[in-house]
This record gives sequence, structure tokens and C-alpha cells, in this order.
Amino acid sequence: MVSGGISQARLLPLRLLGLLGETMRAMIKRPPSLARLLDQMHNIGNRSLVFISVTLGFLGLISVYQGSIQAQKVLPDLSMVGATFINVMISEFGPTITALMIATRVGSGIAAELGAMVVTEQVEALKMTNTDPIEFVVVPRFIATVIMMFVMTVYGVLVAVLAGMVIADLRFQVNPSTFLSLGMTGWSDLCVGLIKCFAYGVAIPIIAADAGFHASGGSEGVGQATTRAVVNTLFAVIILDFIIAGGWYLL
Amino acid sequence: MVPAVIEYREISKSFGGIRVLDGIDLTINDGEVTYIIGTSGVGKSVLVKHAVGLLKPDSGRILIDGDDVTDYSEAQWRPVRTRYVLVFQHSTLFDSMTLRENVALPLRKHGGLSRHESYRKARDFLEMVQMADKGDKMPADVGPPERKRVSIARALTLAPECAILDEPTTGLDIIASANVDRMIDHLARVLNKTVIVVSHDLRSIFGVADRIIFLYKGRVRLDGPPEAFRSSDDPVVKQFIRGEPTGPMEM
Ligand SMILES: Nc1ncnc2c1ncn2[C@@H]1O[C@H](COP(=O)(O)OP(=O)(O)OP(=O)(O)O)[C@@H](O)[C@H]1O
Ligand SMILES: [Mg+2]
Repeated sequence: MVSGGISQARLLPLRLLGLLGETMRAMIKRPPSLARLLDQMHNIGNRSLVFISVTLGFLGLISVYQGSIQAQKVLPDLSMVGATFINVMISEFGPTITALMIATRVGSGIAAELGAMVVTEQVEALKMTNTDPIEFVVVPRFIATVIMMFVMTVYGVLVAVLAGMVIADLRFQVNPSTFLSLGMTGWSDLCVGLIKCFAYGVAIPIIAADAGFHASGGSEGVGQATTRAVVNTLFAVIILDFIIAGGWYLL
Repeated sequence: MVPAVIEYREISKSFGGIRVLDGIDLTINDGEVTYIIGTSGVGKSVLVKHAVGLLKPDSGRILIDGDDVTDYSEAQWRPVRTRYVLVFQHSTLFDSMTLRENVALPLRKHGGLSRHESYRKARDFLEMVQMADKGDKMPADVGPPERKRVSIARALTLAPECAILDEPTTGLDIIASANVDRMIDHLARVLNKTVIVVSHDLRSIFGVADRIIFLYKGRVRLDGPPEAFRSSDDPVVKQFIRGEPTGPMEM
């Protein structure tokens, strides 16, 4: 049993690459209609908007508040707080925290939907009707997640920055125009942020779909697949964050 | 001599170390109504899924119309699945589509019809199962007997040579199952299709079957016309017919 678990874990990256390859192939061969795509994007937005607003809003509030208190001890003034915060949000916390939210909300949704289709034999039925389950189910969700990852990150960064700006103004009398500074943010920070967005956007739907496809044994199996999807996608986001940040630093 | 349509040669299949099929040797004949029966979990669904390539045997060969299909790829199975259709045990309608879209899907995907044409033709098939007025409903909005009828209609859209029905009457009331029996009879006697039915329903078995195959412990225990089944002095068969809770049968 234990050795089975280890070999499973070893196989997972290969399986994921395989699924990614098949998804790309199906996507190029027959792109989904715009209507289906918009439907999925709307779905993702709907599921994660409140979640991301609350999380990123509070993240902005708390980190600017705590950061300013610490900074006051060593710095003569707080004029750089906004610029530093915006830099960190764009290159690190914006994409990553948004991805963690999308992984829990959207990743679990994809795994549950697909898992339910697997255990109720709908995936086999698709094959019988000459419909590739990857083309039909995975591709629209994949493209939609990649796009929405960028959209929600931009939105999340805006929410966090606005929340940070308000607390900086009210509590520390930092002028909003001073706070809203891109002085510390270079193109390279923006690039790292975008690369992360893209990597998370690709990884989340693929890992979640893999978990869904491997659901077995009734509704209990769907539950397990959903849990596995959440654990694996969260883990992947953290690992990818580390790899991309590290890779960028070494470059 | 009747030409053989599906041949199972020494088919074995295990799941997680449990041997479900243990050397099945079986030939399904053209134009006959063959019933496959046996207790729950004996592997009836597993057996019929092998005939359409949804499962691959661990050992043994499967021949369809004399061609060895055991190692067929998904692409090679595609044309086979227009001539040999499977209606799944649990109505596997696609949750995200209306009943009409469900029925139209194989017409579009296998038959290459346009959306408009496929909808028109789908209407005829819905009419055949008395569901024409409910084409706009979603699967979740109708009851299990109606879902079953629609999934049968969906399978018949391709004018298959052989229809495999996995427990078409389980969960239906007496009248609804009599309707399904009539449909099976019509398929076989009027349209000259080969029909394979997986069933528990002894009443319909004795009404429509040409041949009965009784599975027990992964093997074919009895294979013959209904009379042979009824007059069998095999204690296991007798127990099954009488539905006795105790006897030689091991569950
Ligand atoms: N895809 C699968 N993965 C793992 N085990 C499976 C799979 N399909 C079937 N089994 C197992 O194989 C055995 C036979 O299943 P099958 O569905 O063929 O039974 P059945 O005869 O159709 O029973 P029922 O009358 O309940 O439908 C069961 O123990 C089932 O759990
Ligand atoms: Mg079954």
C-alpha cells in the first residue's frame, strides 16, 4: 500500500504533463465556442469574486498596517510604504494569494464536476457519443481559468492596494498620491507577476481535472477527488511560486 | 449458420486484485436477443463495456464481426461505436444539456450533422420514446424512467446494428418496464437488430429473450434458451430463479 502510494506520487507529474499535452492538442484542434468560454469565465468569476475581495482586501489592510508600524521604528517617514507594498503585491502576493483562492474555489469545483461525471459514467457516455471528454470538459475550463487568473489577479491587486491606501491615509496620514507609487516597481516585477499568473492558471485546472478523472466509487469518491484537488493545487501554487521566484532571482 | 457479432475469448479482468471476469468464452449471435443475468456485482456491466472498448481485458481477445478489436485505439473504436451502442445502467445524460441536445449530440459528433439538422432529427427520436414535448427540459427536471427513455433514444439515433442495454428496466414501474420490453421486441423482430440486455427482471427475460447467459463467479454458468434456463437442475440457477435468500449460491 505504501509503495503504491509512492509510485502514484511519482507518476503524478508525468500524468499531469500528459493531460496538459492532450488538453493543448484538443484546444488547437477544436477551440471551444466563445459562448461556452464566456460561460465558464463567468462561472469562475462568480465563484471567486467575493472570496478574493475579502481576502485581498484584508491582506492589504493588515500588511500595510503592520508594515507601517514596523517601518515607523526604523524609518524617518512612511513615504515609501505604498511603493514597497505595491511592488510586493504585483510580484508576489497578488498572483499567489489570488491563485490560492482560485485553487480552493475553482479547482475544487472542476474536480467535483468531473468526478461526478466519472462516477455516473457520463465520461464513458461521452466517448460513446464520439465526444472527447478532454475537449468537451477540460478545454473550456482550462482556457477560462488561465484568462480569469489574470483578470482576478488584477482585480485582487487593485482591491488590496485600495484597502492599503485607505488604512495608510486614515491611520498613518500617508497621502494617497504618495501611497500610489510605482516607483519601486520595475518591468521585471511585472514580468514575474505575469509569469506566476500564467503558471498558476495552467496548473490549477490541469491538476483539478486529473483529480476528477481519477475519482472512483460513488459520491464518496467525488469527495475524495475534491479534497485531493485542493491539496494538490495549493501545493502546486506554493512550489511554482518558489520555482519562479528562485529562477528569476538566479537569472 | 448465423454469423457471430461479438466474440469473447477467454476474457479475464481484475480490479484492484479482485478477479471479476475469469475466462469468459462467449459468442453473441447476430439478430438474437441475448439476456445477460447474474447477481449484483458479478460483472455484467464490466462484460458489456468490453464490447464497446470502454474497458480492456487483462487477458483474452475480443472479436467484433470477426475483427480482433482487443488492442484498438480510441480512434479505431469510433466507427465501431456507431454500430454497437451501449445504453448505460444509470441514465448517463449530460447534466449540462437539455434532453434534445443530449439526443442530438451523437448525430452531430458521429453523424456530422449541423446543429439545426441534428435538432430536427432528435425530435423524431424523442417522439419515438414519447418525450417530444419535453425536449427543452434538463435531465434533472424529469424522472428516472424518462431519463432512461431519453438515453435509449440517444443510443438509437445512429441506427446501430447492435444495441446493448444495461439494466433498462431496473427502477422502472411495471408499466414503464413493459414499454421497454416492447421496444426491445420491436428492435429485434421488426428492425432486425441484435440486442443484448443486462437484466435482473425475470418476467421480461422469459417474455423476450432468445438466449440467456447466466454469469456466476466470473464465468458463464449457463448458456441457453429460456426453457433450458427454467428447467435447469443446477442448484445455483434454481436458487437465482426462485430468488431464495439461502442456498448454494455464494455472494
Ligand atoms: N471501473 C471500475 N473500477 C474498479 N472496480 C470496478 C470498475 N467497474 C466495476 N468494478 C467492480 O467490478 C465488479 C463488477 O461490477 P459490475 O458493475 O460489472 O457488476 P454488475 O454485475 O453490473 O452488478 P449490478 O447488477 O449491481 O449492476 C464490482 O465489484 C465493481 O465494484
Ligand atoms: Mg451493472
